[in-house]
Amino acid sequence: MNQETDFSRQLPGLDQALREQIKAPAMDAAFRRQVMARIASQREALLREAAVPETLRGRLRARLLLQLANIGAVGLATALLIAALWPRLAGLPAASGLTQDWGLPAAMAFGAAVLFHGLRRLSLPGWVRRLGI
Amino acid sequence: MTRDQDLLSLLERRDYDAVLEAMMQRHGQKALNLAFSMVRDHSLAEDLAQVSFVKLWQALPRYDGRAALATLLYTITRNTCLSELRKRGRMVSLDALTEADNDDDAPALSLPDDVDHAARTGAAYDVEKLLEGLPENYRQVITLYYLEDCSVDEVAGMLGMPVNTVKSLLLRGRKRLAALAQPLEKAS
Repeated sequence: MNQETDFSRQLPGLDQALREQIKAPAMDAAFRRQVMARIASQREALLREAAVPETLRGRLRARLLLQLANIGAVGLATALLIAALWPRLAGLPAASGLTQDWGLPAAMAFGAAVLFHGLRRLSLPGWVRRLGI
Repeated sequence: MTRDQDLLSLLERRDYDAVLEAMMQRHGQKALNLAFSMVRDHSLAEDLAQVSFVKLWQALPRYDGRAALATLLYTITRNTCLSELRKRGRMVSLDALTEADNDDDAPALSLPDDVDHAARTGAAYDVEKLLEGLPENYRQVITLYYLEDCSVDEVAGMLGMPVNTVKSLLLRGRKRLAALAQPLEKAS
């Protein structure tokens, strides 16, 4: 590097002094021991910190399961209710077009609609993100 | 720069202590040099380098292998030192490094009052005093350059700067240093 030789030539004493006098502390075994000691003293705290999100995740998971069970139960109850009420609904004069055969498909459709609505409101992608799945 | 490929198997086994030991063996002195070039105090540099290694150990479980481990260590060390300098009100703006490129016409700095102390103590130059007369950015690059056996590439890698920027800072910093030292050089 030209700059390098120029500088050394113009100010040889200074260049020499810079080389000799700029000294950083030396890396030694004591340094390494101190680093490991710092880590040992923090390890417990770090493990505790790491355990907190795990507990939180467990609670979230339980809440999600509860909500899913809730939505499932409401969907099933809706389907059963429709199935049970269908003979009466089909017998109403205003619903003269309905036949008894449509009972089961109608109950399933209403149950599925309730499930779909519940799951949409639950916002599954948000839960997936929060739980890190 | 070493990619520390052999440490990846240790990382896969989650043997973070072993990775840290190896990193201290291989890059410990460089991390210390980097910290010292920034804070210019032996005990503080040691303390900050140790903190940097602890932070590296904490970061290892999240290490994705995109950057070299050494690069990660230098980034952590730089940030640790910058936070400390900020706390102490000695903030070094990295932007100032490039702004300083335009000060060619700046008048030469005056010598620190006690620079002739060097002559009195027998040393041709008191480098510490001369460096005190330089702006922080030049001082850091010059210090690291001499600590790293005059390797511009090494300095650029450690500071996370382009090689040409380091060369430019080095040239301008040494110009200023020469202006400070010229009277003493003639005298000796």
